[in-house]
Amino acid sequence: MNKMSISQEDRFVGDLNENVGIVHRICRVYFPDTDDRKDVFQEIVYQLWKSYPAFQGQSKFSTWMYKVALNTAITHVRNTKRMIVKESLSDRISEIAISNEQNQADERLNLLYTAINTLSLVDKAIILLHLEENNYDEIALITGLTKTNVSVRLVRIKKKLEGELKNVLY
Amino acid sequence: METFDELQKSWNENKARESAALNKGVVVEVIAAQIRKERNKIFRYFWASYFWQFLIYASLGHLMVRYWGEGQTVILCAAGILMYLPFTTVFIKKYNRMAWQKSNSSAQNVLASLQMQHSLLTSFFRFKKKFDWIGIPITCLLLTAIIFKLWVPNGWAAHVAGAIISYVLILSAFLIATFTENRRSFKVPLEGLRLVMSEMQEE
Repeated sequence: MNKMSISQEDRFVGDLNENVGIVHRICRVYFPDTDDRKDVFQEIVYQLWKSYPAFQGQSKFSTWMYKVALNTAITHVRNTKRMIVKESLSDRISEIAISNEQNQADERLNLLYTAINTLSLVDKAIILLHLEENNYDEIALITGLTKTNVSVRLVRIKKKLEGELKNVLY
Repeated sequence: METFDELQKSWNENKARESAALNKGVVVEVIAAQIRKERNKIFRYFWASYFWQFLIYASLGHLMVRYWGEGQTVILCAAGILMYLPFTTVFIKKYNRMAWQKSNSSAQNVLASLQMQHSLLTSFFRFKKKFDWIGIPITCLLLTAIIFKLWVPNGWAAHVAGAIISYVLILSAFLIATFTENRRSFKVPLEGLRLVMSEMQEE
């Protein structure tokens, strides 16, 4: 860790810990496989550390973190030679049905992740940012899309997810 | 939107529960491991990319020393090295620029980052294709000449047909390897980038 001073390193670890959930959730959205997730988590932490000295605080730390983490995850997906298997919702449902220890909220969440896994790379980013309660301006800033485009896409993505999940949940 | 709101609620509840803190030691370990991984990756790429260029320099250098005093051989070898040197220099410069810019683009927005990766890869691939078109035939010619000079009695002049067949065989092997490598390292990634970018740009 030679680029940063000790105090900068401590600040980085502090900022990272405050927002580390973002990294976990991005990894889970893009990588259903636990081993892949571990690799990407480490890669994202490394990219954040590399870019941290250039982060001047012009934007919120979380906004900057979303950009670095999403860029790293998307690059990793594109570079992964092995095909990431898209688990079907029906497979997931039968799996959940036999695991009694999971509570309903976890089941909903697992189904949501499985449904998100059926989306494209870009739509995954948009829905994730929306679920993370970023507003349209922030989503546009992070993705580079226009605000109008974000809102149009969100309506379409939500409809798609609801359509897939409706029969399962209700 | 009842269904989606329920899901949003589950998402938020999960957010509150998860996220164990990382201590500094773990972060340092993760970063050190990634640095090692990145170095290995660069070393592998560097080795694969420059192996044949080093081979050319080594072979021509060896021939120059071995046949020192034989004017024509020395001049040909020196010409080969001088001709190849600018290609290697530009190749290294372009590669370094691409690696540096790529590693500094991760804090851009997603679309800008994809566009930058696409433009860097396209520019490097364009240069590499030119390099391949000129470099590969010359490399194969030099390799054929060296093989015939060192191991075939009376050299290529006494076995013109054999030399031509050898040249064609070596050239074919190089072309197949280059085609495969270009497809794997450039064409497929560029196509992937184009797909994601076009998806983002459609309204």
